[in-house]
Amino acid sequence: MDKEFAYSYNDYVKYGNGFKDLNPISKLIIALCLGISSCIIHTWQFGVVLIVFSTIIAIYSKVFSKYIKSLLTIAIPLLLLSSIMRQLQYGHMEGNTPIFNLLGWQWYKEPFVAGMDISCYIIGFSSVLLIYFLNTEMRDLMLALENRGVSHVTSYIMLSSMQSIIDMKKSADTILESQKARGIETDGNIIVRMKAFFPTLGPILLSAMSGTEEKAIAMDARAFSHEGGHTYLRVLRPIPVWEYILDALAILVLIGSIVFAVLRAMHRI
Amino acid sequence: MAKKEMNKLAWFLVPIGVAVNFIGGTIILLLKLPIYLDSIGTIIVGALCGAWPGVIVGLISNILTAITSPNNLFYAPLNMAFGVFAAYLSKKGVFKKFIPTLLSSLGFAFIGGVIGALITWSLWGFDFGAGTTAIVVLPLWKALGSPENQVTKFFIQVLGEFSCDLLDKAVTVIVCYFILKAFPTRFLSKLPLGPVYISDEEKALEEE
Amino acid sequence: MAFIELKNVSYKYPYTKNYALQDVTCSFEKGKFYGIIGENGGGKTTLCNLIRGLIPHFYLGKLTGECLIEGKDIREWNTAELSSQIGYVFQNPFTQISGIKSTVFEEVAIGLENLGVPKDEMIERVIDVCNQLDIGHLIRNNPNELSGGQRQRVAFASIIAMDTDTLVIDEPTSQLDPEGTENVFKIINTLKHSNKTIILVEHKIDLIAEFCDEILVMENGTVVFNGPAHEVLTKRELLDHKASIPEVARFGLAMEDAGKPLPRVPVTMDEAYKLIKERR
Repeated sequence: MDKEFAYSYNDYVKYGNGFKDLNPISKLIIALCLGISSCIIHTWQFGVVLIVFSTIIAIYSKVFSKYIKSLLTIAIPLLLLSSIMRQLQYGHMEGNTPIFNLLGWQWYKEPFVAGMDISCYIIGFSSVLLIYFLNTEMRDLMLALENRGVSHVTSYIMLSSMQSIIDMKKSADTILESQKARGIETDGNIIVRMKAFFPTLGPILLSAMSGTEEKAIAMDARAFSHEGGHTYLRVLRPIPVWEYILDALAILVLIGSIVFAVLRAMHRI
Repeated sequence: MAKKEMNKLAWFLVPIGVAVNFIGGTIILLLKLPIYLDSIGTIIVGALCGAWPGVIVGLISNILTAITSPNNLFYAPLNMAFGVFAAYLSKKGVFKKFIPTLLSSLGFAFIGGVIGALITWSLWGFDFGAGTTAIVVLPLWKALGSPENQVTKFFIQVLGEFSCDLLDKAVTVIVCYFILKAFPTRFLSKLPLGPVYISDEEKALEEE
Repeated sequence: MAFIELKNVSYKYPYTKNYALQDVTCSFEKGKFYGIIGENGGGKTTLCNLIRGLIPHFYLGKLTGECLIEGKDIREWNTAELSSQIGYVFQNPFTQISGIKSTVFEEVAIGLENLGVPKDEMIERVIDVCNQLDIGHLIRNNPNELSGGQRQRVAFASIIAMDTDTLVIDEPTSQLDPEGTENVFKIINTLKHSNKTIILVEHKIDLIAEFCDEILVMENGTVVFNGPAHEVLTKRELLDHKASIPEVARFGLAMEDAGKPLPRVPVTMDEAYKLIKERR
C-alpha cells in the first residue's frame, strides 16, 4: 500500500503553477470577463492585446504547444475567410482605399479592417478561454462549484459526460475495426459508407443507454441520493485575497469595455 | 416519490446523450461523410426524457467542444433548442412513425436556420458570417443582385443555414427514429416520455 | 431477530404479463449468511431489488404483500436511507465504476463522501478497506482503465467502505474470468468472518455450500426451499428442480442409493473428506 499517496489527500489540490493553482471559479471569472470584453469592444486592437496576454500565460503555465495548435486551427480559417468574405462583399464600394493587388484582384483597406476586427475579437475571445480550459481540470471546476452550493448531481452529469465520451470512443473504435475485419466497407462510395454507419452506432448507443439503469442503481448504492452534508476527499486551497483582487480587476476591464462601447456608440450617432 | 426516482434515471441518460453527440460526429469523420450528426444525443434524450434533460445535453455538448474550440459556446442555444423541440415532437407522437419523423427534419433545419443565422448575424457584426454556409450564402446574395437591405440579407443567411442543415437533420432524425424503436419496454417504462414508445398491446398488460 | 421480513409478497414489473415474485414469504436474520440459488429468471434478482428498495422506488409495477426492513415497510423507506443500511454489489463490473473519479482511492471513497464522513476518517477507512481487499497496489490507477476483475474488487471496496450492516451481492462472478472469480471469492470469505448479514445470489453451488448458513431456492418467482444450508443442499427433491446441488452431495446421495451411506450427506469437499476418513 502506497501510504504516501493515500495521505497526500490530506493536502490541498496543487499543481505547482501560479496560474493553474488559481481557484477554478476565479480563473473562470477572469477568462469570461476578458472574453466578453473582447466581444463588446469588437476591434482588432483589443483582440490582439488579448491574444498576446493569453500567449504569455500559455507559456508561463507550460501549455503553449497545445494552446497554439488549437488557436491556429481557429485563427487561420477565420482570418482567411473573413478577409476574403468582406473583400468580396464590399470590395467594389466607392470611397474604399486600395491597399494591394493580389494577382489582379484589388484589395481595399476598409473591408479588410472590418474583416480583421471580427476575426480578431473572436480569436481574442477564444484565446482566453483556451488558456482557461487548458489550465483547469473539469473535476476541479466542478468541485469548486459544489463548494459554492451547486448540486453534486450537476458534477456527476458533467464529469460522467466526459468519461462516457472516452468510453464510447473506445467501443466505436473496436466496432469499426471488427467491421473492417469482417469485410464491411468503411471506405468506398458514400452509400457504402452510410451503410457502415448504422451498424456501428446502433449497438454502441443501445448498450450504453441500457447501461444507465445499472449505473443509476450502482450510484444509488453509493449513497448518491443521500441528502445532508457531503464531504470531499480532494480539497481546493482557500482563496487568497489577491485572487479576489485579480477578479475585481477583470470585472473592471469588463465595465470599462461597456463604458467604451457606449461612448463609441454615442459618438457615432 | 416514484415520480422523482423515475426522473433520476433521466439525469443518468444525459451523459450518454452527450457522448452520442460526440460519437456521431467522430464516426462521420472516420467515414468521411459530408454531414455532422452532432445532435443525435440531444434529440434522443429530449424525446425520451423531456425538454430539460435535452437542453442540458445540448449545453454540455457545446461546453465540451468549447474546450478545444471556444467559439462553439456561442452556438450552444442551437443545440439546446433542438432538445426542446425534440421533447415537444415526442409528446405529439411524431417519432413513432417514419414519415412524420422524416418531415420533422424540416422543423429542425428551420430552427437551425433561424437561430443559427441569429447567432452568426450577431457574431459577425450584423452581416454575413464566414463559415461553411458562406459557400451558399454569398452566391445567393450575388445572384439576387447584392441587395444591401438588412432584412433581405438576414433572410438569405437563414436560407443558407437552413439548406446546409437539411440533409444533416434528415439523416439525424432517421437515425433517431430507428434507435427509439429499438429500446426495450422495461427501459422505456422508467423514462418520463418513454411510455410514448410502448406498444398498445404492452400497455394493455398494465391495465389488467 | 428478523431484520428483513417478507409476507406474501407478489410483484409484477411494469408492462409485463407474469409475476416476477409470487406469494413469497421469508425472513432474514441479523448476522447470518444467506444464499439464494435457482434457475435464471426464477426471481433471484427481483428479490434482491426488493430488499434493496429498488422495488418499489426505482422499478414501478405492482407490489402486494408486506416487506418489512427493521420493522418498517419498504414503501416508507427512502432509497438514500436504505443505501446507508444495505450495501449492494451486482454482476456488471463496468457499470459499477462511477466514471467520475480519476484514482481508485477516490473511487473507493465515493460513498463516504456522499454520506459526509469526515476526511480524516475517510482516508483511514479507505486505506483499511484497500488493504483488506488486497487492492492497495491499485490506489493510484485510473478506475476507468482497470480490467473487469479489478473493477469488481474496487466496486466491492466502495461498498464495504460504507460499512453497512447488510450486504446484498447479486452474482458477483458471473462476468469474470477465473482469476477475477478467485479474487471475489477471497473477498466473500473475508465478509464471512465479519458480523454482517450477507445475502448472496450465486450459481457456483460449491461456493454457496462453503459459506452459507441458510439457503433459499427460487423457481418461477416462488421460494421452493428455505432452510439451513446443509438441510436444503442434501434434499433429494432438489434434483427434480432446476437448481443444482454440490457434486459431493450428489455423490453422498448416490452412496445412499447404493446402500452404502455415509453418516450424513456431505455438502463440501472438506466435509466429505472428514466423513470418509472417519468411516475407515
